[in-house]
Amino acid sequence: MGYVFDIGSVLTGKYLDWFLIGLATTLALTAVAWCLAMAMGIILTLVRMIPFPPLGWFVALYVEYHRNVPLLVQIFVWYFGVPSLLPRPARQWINAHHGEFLLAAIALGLAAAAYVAEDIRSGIRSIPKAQYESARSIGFGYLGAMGYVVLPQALRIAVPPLINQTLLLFKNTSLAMAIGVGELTYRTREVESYTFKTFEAFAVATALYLAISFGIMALGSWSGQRLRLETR
Amino acid sequence: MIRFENVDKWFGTLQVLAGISGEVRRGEVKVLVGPSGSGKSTLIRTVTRLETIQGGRVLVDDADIASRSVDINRLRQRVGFVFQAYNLFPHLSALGNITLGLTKLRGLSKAAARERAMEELARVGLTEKADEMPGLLSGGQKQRVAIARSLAMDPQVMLFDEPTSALDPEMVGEVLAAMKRLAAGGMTMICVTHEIGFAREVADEIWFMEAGRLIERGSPAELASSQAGSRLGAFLRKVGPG
Ligand SMILES: Nc1ncnc2c1ncn2[C@@H]1O[C@H](COP(=O)(O)OP(=O)(O)OP(=O)(O)O)[C@@H](O)[C@H]1O
Ligand SMILES: [Mg+2]
Repeated sequence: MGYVFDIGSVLTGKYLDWFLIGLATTLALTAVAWCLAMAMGIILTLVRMIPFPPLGWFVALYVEYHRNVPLLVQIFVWYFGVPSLLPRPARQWINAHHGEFLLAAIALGLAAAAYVAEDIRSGIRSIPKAQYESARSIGFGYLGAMGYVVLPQALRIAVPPLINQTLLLFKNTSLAMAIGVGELTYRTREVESYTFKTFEAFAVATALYLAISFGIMALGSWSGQRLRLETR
Repeated sequence: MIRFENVDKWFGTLQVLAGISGEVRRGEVKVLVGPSGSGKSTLIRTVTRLETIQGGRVLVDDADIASRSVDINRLRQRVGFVFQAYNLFPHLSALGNITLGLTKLRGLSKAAARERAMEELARVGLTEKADEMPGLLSGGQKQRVAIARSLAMDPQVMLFDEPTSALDPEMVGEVLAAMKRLAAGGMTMICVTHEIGFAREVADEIWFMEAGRLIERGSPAELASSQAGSRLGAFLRKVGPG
């Protein structure tokens, strides 16, 4: 007897709802983690520019930890480790307010921040020193030269790699299922175990992941073109 | 206006300026010539503290620019600097390059800054390029925008570091013409350039540098009559007729 592929069987009733809830959770997780990643990435970049070596070492350590320890381990550290360090009321609050979602978002966001900080830094490094010098010789101070001349150019250069990071972040949200966040992969497993329609369930998940990924990539190439500075 | 007093400058163990003294008075145009590596760029960069010095003093309007009481950012507004590589800000239009300092440093309104910038663009003959991005301008046009950008800050002195050396020959003339008009208008200038024709026409004095020293100086006419056997004479013959 052959396997009958029947996509309709997982796209009805509560199963369809599960997929949609899963997708919504994945997108929410991506959005929260993304905001955290950007904010923290910019803070790390600024901290690294302060000419006080211990701060630079701290940022370097931060970046190395988040780039070299498996993301799943980082998520476990946040989920199992960090709450145990908190006082009891805080723990209760976390448990009552979807703690796993919040902790997954923190773990994903902080890890992505390491990459964001590196992307912004290499953007800044790619701006010739003459640009900074030229701004200074008009009379701008350090902050003015950075703020009006160097950073606007550096961010332009950093946008395509940052969109790449967004794509990775989006895909990495599936790891949050390991701590019980009801995101798309988690919900797909649920559909699969209720219906035994393994291929159908994962086909739907794959299609949804691909659709969002393509959307992010399209945004990337569009912004890349918009931001490119024309030359003769 | 600008006075160099025994200026010494080292890069590590390499001495690139050795006991340079000289004065530029208001309204004067000095042209600085000399072989590559002789320290010309370094010397004019000391005027706005783009390079620090290890010995001697540089004075602008009788104030030692190394002194703590000098606000370097204000000084740099009074002393315009034009680079060989233009250094326009590529993310801003020609107009935006000029208005940036006017709005952010001078506090002009957008409209007032625009008006002022258009005046400067008109002076260098580029009003029709106001909204063009630098990447789409020719080298000569970029350098004229860079000059306009400096002039918009109302400098009392303009420093030029080989402003025409990166240009195709057919564009050198338009930049030199802008500089000549500036000199004719009474601007105080120090120009590093190998354009000997320009030097003959507008320089009050030519300074010849070699190996970090100022070894000859004089008006173009004086140097022309005495240059036969001199180092400067040999140098001028090498860089060609002017
Ligand atoms: N940032 C630097 N670090 C080390 N050495 C430098 C630096 N800038 C310049 N020098 C050296 O200082 C000397 C003088 O350089 P400078 O650029 O002032 O010469 P120049 O007369 O302007 O030459 P050119 O005609 O090639 O522009 C050169 O030997 C150069 O190699
Ligand atoms: Mg030079």
